[in-house]
Amino acid sequence: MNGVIVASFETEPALRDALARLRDERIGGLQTYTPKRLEDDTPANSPIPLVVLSAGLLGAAAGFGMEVYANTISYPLDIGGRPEFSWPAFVPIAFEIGVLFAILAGVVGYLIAAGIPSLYDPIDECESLRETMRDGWVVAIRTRDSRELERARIILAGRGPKAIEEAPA
Amino acid sequence: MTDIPASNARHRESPIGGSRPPLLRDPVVLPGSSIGSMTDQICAITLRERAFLWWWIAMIPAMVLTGMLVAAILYLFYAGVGIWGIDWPVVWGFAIINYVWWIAIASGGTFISALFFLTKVEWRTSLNRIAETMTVFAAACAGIYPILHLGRPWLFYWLFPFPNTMTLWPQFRSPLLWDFFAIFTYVASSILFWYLGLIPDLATMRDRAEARRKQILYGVMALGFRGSDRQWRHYHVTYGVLAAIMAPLVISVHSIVGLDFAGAATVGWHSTEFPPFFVFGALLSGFAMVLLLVIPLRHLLSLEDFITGRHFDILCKMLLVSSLCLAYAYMMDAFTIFYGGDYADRTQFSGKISGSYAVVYWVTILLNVVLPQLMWFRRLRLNQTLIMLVCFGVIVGMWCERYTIVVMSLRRTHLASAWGDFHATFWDWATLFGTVGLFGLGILLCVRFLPVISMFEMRGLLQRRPREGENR
Amino acid sequence: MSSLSHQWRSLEQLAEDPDFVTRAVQEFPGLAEALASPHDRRRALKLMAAAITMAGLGGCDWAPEGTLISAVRAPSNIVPGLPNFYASANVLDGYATGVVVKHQMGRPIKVEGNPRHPASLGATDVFAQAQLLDFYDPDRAWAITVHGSPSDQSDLRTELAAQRAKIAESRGNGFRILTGAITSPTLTRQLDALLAIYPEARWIQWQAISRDNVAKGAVLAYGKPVELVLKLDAADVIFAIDSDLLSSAPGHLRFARDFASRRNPTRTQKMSRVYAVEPTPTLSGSVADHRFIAGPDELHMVVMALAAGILEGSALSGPPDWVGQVIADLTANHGRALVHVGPDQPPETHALVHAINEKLGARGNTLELIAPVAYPVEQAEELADLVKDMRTGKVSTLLIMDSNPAYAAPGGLSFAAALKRVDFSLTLTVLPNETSQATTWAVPMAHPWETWSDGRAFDGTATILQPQALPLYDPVSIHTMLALFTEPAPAAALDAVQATWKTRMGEDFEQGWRHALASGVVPGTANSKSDVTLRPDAGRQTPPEPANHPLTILFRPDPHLWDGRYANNAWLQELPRPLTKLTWDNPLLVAPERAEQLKLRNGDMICLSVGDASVTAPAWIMPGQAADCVVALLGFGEQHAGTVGSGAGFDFYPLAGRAGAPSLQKVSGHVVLACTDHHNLIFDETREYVRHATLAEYNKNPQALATGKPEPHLYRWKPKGPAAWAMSVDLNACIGCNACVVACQAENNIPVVGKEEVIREREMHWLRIDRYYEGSPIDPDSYFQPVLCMHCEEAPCETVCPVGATVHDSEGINVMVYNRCIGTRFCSNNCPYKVRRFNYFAFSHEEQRPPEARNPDVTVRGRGVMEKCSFCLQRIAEARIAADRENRPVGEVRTACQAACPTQAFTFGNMADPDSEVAKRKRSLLDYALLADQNTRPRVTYEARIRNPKPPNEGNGG
Repeated sequence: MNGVIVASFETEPALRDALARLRDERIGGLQTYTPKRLEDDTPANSPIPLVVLSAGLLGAAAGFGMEVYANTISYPLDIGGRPEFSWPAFVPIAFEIGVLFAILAGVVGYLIAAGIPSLYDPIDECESLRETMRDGWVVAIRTRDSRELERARIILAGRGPKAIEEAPA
Repeated sequence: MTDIPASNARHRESPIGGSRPPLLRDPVVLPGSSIGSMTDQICAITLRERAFLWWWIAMIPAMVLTGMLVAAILYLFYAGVGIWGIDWPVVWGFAIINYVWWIAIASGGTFISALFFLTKVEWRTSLNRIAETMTVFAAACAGIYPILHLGRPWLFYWLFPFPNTMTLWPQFRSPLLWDFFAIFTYVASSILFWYLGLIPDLATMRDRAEARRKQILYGVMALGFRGSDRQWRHYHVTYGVLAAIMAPLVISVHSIVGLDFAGAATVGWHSTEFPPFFVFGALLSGFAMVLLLVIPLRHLLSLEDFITGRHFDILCKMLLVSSLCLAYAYMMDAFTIFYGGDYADRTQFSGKISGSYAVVYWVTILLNVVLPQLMWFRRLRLNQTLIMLVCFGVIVGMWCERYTIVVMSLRRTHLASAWGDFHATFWDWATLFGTVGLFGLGILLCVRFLPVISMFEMRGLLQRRPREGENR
Repeated sequence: MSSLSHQWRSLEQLAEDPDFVTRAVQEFPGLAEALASPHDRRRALKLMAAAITMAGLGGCDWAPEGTLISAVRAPSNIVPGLPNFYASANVLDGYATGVVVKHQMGRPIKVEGNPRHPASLGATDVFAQAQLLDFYDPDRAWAITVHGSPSDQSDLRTELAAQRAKIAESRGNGFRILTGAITSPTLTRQLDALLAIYPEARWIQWQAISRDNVAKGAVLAYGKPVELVLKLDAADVIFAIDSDLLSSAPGHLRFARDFASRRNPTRTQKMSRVYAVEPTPTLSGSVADHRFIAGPDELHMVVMALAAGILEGSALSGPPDWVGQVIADLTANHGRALVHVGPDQPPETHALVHAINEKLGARGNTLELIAPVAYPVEQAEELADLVKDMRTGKVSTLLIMDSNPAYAAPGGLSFAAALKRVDFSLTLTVLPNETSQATTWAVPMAHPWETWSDGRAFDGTATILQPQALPLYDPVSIHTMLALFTEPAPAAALDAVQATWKTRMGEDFEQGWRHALASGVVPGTANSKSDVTLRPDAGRQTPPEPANHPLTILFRPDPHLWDGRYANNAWLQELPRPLTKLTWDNPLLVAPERAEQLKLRNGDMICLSVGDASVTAPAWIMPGQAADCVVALLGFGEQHAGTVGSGAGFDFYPLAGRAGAPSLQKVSGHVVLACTDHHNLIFDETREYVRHATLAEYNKNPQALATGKPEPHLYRWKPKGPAAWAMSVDLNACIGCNACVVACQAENNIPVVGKEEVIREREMHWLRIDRYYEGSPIDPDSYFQPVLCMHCEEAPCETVCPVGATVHDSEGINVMVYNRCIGTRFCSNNCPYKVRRFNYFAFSHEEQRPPEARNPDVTVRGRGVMEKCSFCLQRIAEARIAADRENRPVGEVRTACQAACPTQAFTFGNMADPDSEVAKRKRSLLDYALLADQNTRPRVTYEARIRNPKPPNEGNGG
């Protein structure tokens, strides 16, 4: 038999304690659901900053390139006797385009990284999930190995959970 | 600390609240509410079946004014910009004044939510949702004007660089085009930033909501955010990065608005101090507007626990600081003109301070510089009525400042033969107050349907609070 | 929008006019529904079109005379897109000024001066330019009416047959003909013939703006009528006494040209010196080197002192001491001096001045006397006598041709009342007016562009006026009308005119006629010098003492509406008056002192009364006006001028010709006047806008006024094109006459915006003439400065346009791309010269002007678009094409303003060619750029104004 075990705890410390225990027992497939980010989370190693930075630089470069192309190659015009390649005047727009790209990349990047939108997940069937965005501290264990699942249930049961449920995988 | 339990008690017995006065030594958030209770309290505001009575009452003027805006715009498109007071020397009028005014208010909101996020100040947490909402709608109001301003508004899209059979491009040297890009970027970014900040709370709403349609509505908007560690980890990183971008963006946007003027050779505009000058103005009007919104909401939604004397204290200090910066800008403006000694500049300036419209200039000084000086006094920083008055004054003052900059300068150009005047028409005022209505409408809708305080950030604050207590 | 609604109202009137409706319904079934909703703009426009087409149909039964050009079947001599030019003349109060009418596809679209014509020399005045709008005026009389109800040619002719019988049997007794001054040889001939047939008939020559004083003065001085031809180019010292020699005297364009030729020290050997004395500022006064203000009494003293000083060499006590200085300067320049006096001074003064000029040796040097050009006045009867006869029922038949006495006759006469006693009266007029409303018959007169006629210039040179287009309506030529009183089927106008000239040209008439039509002048028709001798008592004339009233009303023609005949001409209505810069209105001009004393601001209502008549009108403070004078500008306040002119301004004719002391009180009320000068009488403090110096200062340091070395540049744009178009404006030449402004308006389809929009500072003129004062408001110096787009090489407007709607072309012209403009108006903000105009409403579409009248080579701008001077790009393009065709470098181009300017103040051309006139002028020592510190490198530069006052060290040897 395989599936998902969902255990909810009253407080964050309780959950953290349970998590530590589970990790000690080498139980994999842990997934927490919490109303806020767990305090002592491992330092976030996220690709987002890099994505945003490169998108920003790309945008700025593209913007500046477009301005230069428009004024020197595509359709040079005599504007108030100014030079065709009047780069200082091109900076503000290049900057703004860069920022726009960066922000868009950031948002889109996050959605991908966080795997949303995903409006339905089997785990939503569990009652415990109702509370997660209020004051519920939930850990879910997904594993193929039913013995491991059994061990996990025992461990969690020993940690005084508010409830332990099983959800279809 | 002695008064705290009492206050809690009072708070408990009177859910409507509004009774507890803000105190100077208040913490950022009053003890007594747990993560859960806080969440319930905030959700209750938006999830209640029927809206507050005051909400309905407030909706009436907002709707009326918005209707007036629509009428004014329809007539404008039918008849042309001639319906406004603008004329030969004064070719820019209310459209530009109002635009700068709104965009400045918007910028203030971004400052609070983005800049102070980076500086990791705690008091921001209770305010950033309101501030961001304010930003979004102020920016929306501002965004309307550049299009209304055009002689041929239906061609506004010619400002975009898009492929066309003529192979024509916009003219990238024009500060107006810089401005167009800046505004476009700013509005888009503000909305995204605001929405990103909303996602976890939307998830909460989804889970708290009883009614099916609300569950679906919030569920869809929450995009399936469940608070899994993966979602949280990336979330905080992203939010931080975006905040770090929003801060310089807002400064660049307002500097570019300043360049709309400084970039021109026009008398009274051609000054390098304009970009910072405009940023100061943005700060001032931003803080003022936030206070104007926060004080009544704190009462009406009984948010005393989360918006405390500490906030008033800080915001008023901020107001004072930015007012002083602005005073400096005014001084420098006068100084450079007389130090520079250009004849046209001087005539223009003396026309400002002593001409037929001098009163506008002095009202500006009074409201933006003199009035905020009251904030030097502790007690006054807690007197909500007074704060409201000062902030309202500042908002009006900032509008007058823009009037001075736009109209007064254009009235007196280089050639005396081209001097003129400006007389606002009914339609000028209709459009101005119309956008005020639109702004109010937006705020009211958000107050009704979205959590007014960022709950997930508040959770973090509530958890840290005990340690704060120990430190004291 | 009210200004526009004003014009829409006009169309509704047109639509509701009963005659129109009946006739329209006859000819256009279904139009009735359209009339049901005249408020609908499009329908209204359709109606206007209908009015015109219908007139065309109406005109079909009327056979065109001679060979005319119709645009319907394009004849061989019309090349689509290429203009044709036909010589004609603009006749104002009798005197002809030669013009050339420009046609596109057979439609007259622009008036230019005729270089061959002595009174024009290629220049025009505002009236000649505005003639175009008059010709296309939708309000023109289009139907013969009896007591206001429509009639037709046949009824008219039967009625006239009866009249002929009546007149014939009474030998013309009770028959009166009222016209203005006449110089037309044909009309003169016809008039002589008529008076021969009807010896009892009387001709009354009358015009509201009378020059009788001039004629009578000449008779006083010489015993017989003579006329003056001035030679200002030969005059070193000119003394202008209340003079109109630069503004409206016959030949004033010529005089202005000669005058200007002596005003720029870089181009003339000896700069002339001009003294002017006048009660209220005139153009002559504002360009004078010494201007003195004198009310009637003082002026009288001045004249007497001048006469005494020059004729007897004795000095009178009383008059201001400057007179002595003037006398000294005049006598010192014997043979090179000239005194000129205006038509408002009494005949005796004119006689005295004739004597003085003879004494100064002016005759033969600075002026010539010629036999009279106008039909001699002494044959004419005074209007007063006519009115008396009318009142006493002596007048049975009255023919009024091209004159509007019911409106313009002095109020004292009450002409309209007397008219009721006349049983047959007929008005021949182009535009319906008060008189055509009052007379029993009203007949549409053929516009000078629709028929054949002739006229003579100030020096007698004759011009034959040929039709410029098929008649729009069904009009009667003035010659036909006159002839109809003697014969049932008179010769057509063409034959009448030819009959005149056959006798004069003698053999080879055919060729002479062709040549006359082609060149616009009949050679050798200028009057010969008259050999009259001064009557001995001429110098002993004494002008009547002016009645010593505390206040004197000066009735002067409005500089643009003249006596009111142009009241329905929107161009002239909206043309800022040279000195007051007022449009659409004629407030009473009061001196600053009097304004002070009555606590008057501009626009305060005042009541001016003489005897039992009074008019309440706003006041306008006129700097440099005599304190004891108030100036009433005539020509406004007509009730039947048409949709544009009716009710605009105030009618002061009722005050004219009244006895008694005028009085002036302030009354409650204030109105806003449409003045394009919004800086409330500010003075040029910087002395930067109009740079000027005295001749002495200039001789000391010629470089002083020129623009210094240009500021350093990071980057310098060099003109790349084959030509570098540029302009130089000579401020020494500009007399502020406004001809350039109307010419620009006509050439470039510049819309009229109406009074309300002018008040809202939205006038559209591409070219404006700035007027600056310097000195005290009591007696300021005034300076004129034409300002148009400077076509800056480093144009500030271009860099700020977000869509690149204004850019430079390869020849250095700052071009405006209307189609690209989205109307941000940033360019106007950034223009230091504020030469850009914005279409706040769809001005051109709401104009009351048929599209045929527009210049097809110039885009008509829509709503929300910025516009400005284009250096007449269409003319440059035309020249470029011509040059390409002949494979030569592009040659001379004349802009509209340049062509119209009587003093050649504008020079336009290719700066890159060092031999071009403009390049030469730009090398002038006086050349400066306006607002040079802005560093915009304008292509338009100015030549600073030099004034030539008598240096104090030259003691007055008088």
